[in-house]
Amino acid sequence: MKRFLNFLFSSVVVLVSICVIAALIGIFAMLIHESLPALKKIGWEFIASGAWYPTYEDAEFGMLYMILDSLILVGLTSVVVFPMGLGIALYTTEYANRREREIVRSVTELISGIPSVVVGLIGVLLIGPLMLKIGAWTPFNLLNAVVSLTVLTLPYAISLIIESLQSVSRDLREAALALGSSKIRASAMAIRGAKHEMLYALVLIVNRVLGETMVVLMVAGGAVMLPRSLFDPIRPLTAAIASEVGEVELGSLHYSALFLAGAVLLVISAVITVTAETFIRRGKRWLTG
Amino acid sequence: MADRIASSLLKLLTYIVFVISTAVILFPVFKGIRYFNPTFFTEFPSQGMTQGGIFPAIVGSLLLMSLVAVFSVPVGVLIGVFLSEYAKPTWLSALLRTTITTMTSIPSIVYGLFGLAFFCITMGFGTSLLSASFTLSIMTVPFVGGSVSNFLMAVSNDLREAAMAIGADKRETVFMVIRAAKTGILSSTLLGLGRAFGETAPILVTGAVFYATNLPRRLTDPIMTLPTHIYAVVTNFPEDAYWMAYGSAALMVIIIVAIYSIVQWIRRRSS
Repeated sequence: MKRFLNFLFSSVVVLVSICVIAALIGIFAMLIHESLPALKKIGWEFIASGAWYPTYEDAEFGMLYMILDSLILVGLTSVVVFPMGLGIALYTTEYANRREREIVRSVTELISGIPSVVVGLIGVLLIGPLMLKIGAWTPFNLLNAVVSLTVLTLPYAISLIIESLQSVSRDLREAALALGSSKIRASAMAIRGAKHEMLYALVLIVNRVLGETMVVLMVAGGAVMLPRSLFDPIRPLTAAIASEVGEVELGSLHYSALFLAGAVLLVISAVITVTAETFIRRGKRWLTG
Repeated sequence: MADRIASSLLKLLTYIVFVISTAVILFPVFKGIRYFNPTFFTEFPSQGMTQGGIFPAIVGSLLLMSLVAVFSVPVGVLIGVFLSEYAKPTWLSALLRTTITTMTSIPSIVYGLFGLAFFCITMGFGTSLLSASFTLSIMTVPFVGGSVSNFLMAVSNDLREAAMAIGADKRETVFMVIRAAKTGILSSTLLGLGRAFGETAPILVTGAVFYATNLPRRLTDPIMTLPTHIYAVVTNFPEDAYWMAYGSAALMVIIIVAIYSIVQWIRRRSS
């Protein structure tokens, strides 16, 4: 009996693990299966053209502008969030006293779980009116999306970067300080020592922004176009999927095209992640000879 | 000298950014908490979301979270056990680790698409509580599993060896390890459910309606939830309905901060 129970438990554990792997395969399979009709019908035009008129009589499904909108948004947000996060993380790990460190750590953690729809609400009702005040012609635009996404991801970025800075051994830093180097030098050493971990943190931040849906759906404006200024509205891939999938006719070409957009999102994220990982691996090989 | 400047600059940056971002995030709480009263929590919305309360959204979120807990916590704990205690065959364990990393990096809207195609259409559950809870569970499992496996691996090997030495078999040993890591498992569960609670896009696609006149009776009925209600009010209703979004957002922020505080408290107590 006891042996049977033992066997039964291990089987359940292994079986459940296999099911989870199967679920991931299922997600990919479903995504490919549903996007194939669009890929066949539209062909490579989906990536070569920016004209996205899915509901017109002569429907067009060019995703180029939406892809570029996503990339522009990710680029701008990372450029804002990463240095801010790095500055705060550096202060927290290198300069702050114990109390400040505790406060930064626990508050960042507490607010890192704020749901994105709440940040979307802040973007619509607090940041939107501010946009009009500073001269934007619409409250919902690229700048609003960048600001809202910064609010959403900054706590996440701070904890990731603090973690990567702490991966540098304390000894190294203390040795540097003992040898009489300034704190700035020691911090610079910490940054250099943790550069791979930090690149990885950046990849996580980029992926988070790329996949973020509610905030961009609510505050980015939703116009399929290339922004000429920060005040122009945009429509990233995630916003297009979320806003259109609710109204689409099931099984139609438009429905399939939205799955294709989902697949494109995954491909972009995979390319970014793999590139960074190759970079990190090569860097490590170079370091160790 | 340069040190002093760098230090004060960073200090200034930290203080300013910190105060602003905290204030911004607490903005809905300040705006919304004044609408908290018995009516707000116990009545259906009425008069185009300008009167009444958010009762059906609260019930919907509660039902959804209970189902997600029932589906995802056992599975999450079991794969955590596999990774930490069995890890054999090695290829399966490596594959499962890769699966978990991949799944945690998939955007939530893609889970929504999958849930729509698989649960709503292929399985025929339609836009429903059931579809939404399955979709959210699939998102939550890898998070809980990865986190649980870390806590189990942190349990000292002495315990496993002592258990084996007194004649416990593998299963009994595993249960002892689980018991030793129970506070860690509890935090993983809370954080996983907290994340699922705030997810909006997947529910929007698989199970939510913006307005319901009665509570869901079956698993295949659609639901109202707090996050989708906030979205609906802010994007589809005029200004005199916004108070309801503020109130709902305040409630959500308070719940999330409470969950994270409990997790911090557990961690501080156990260390």
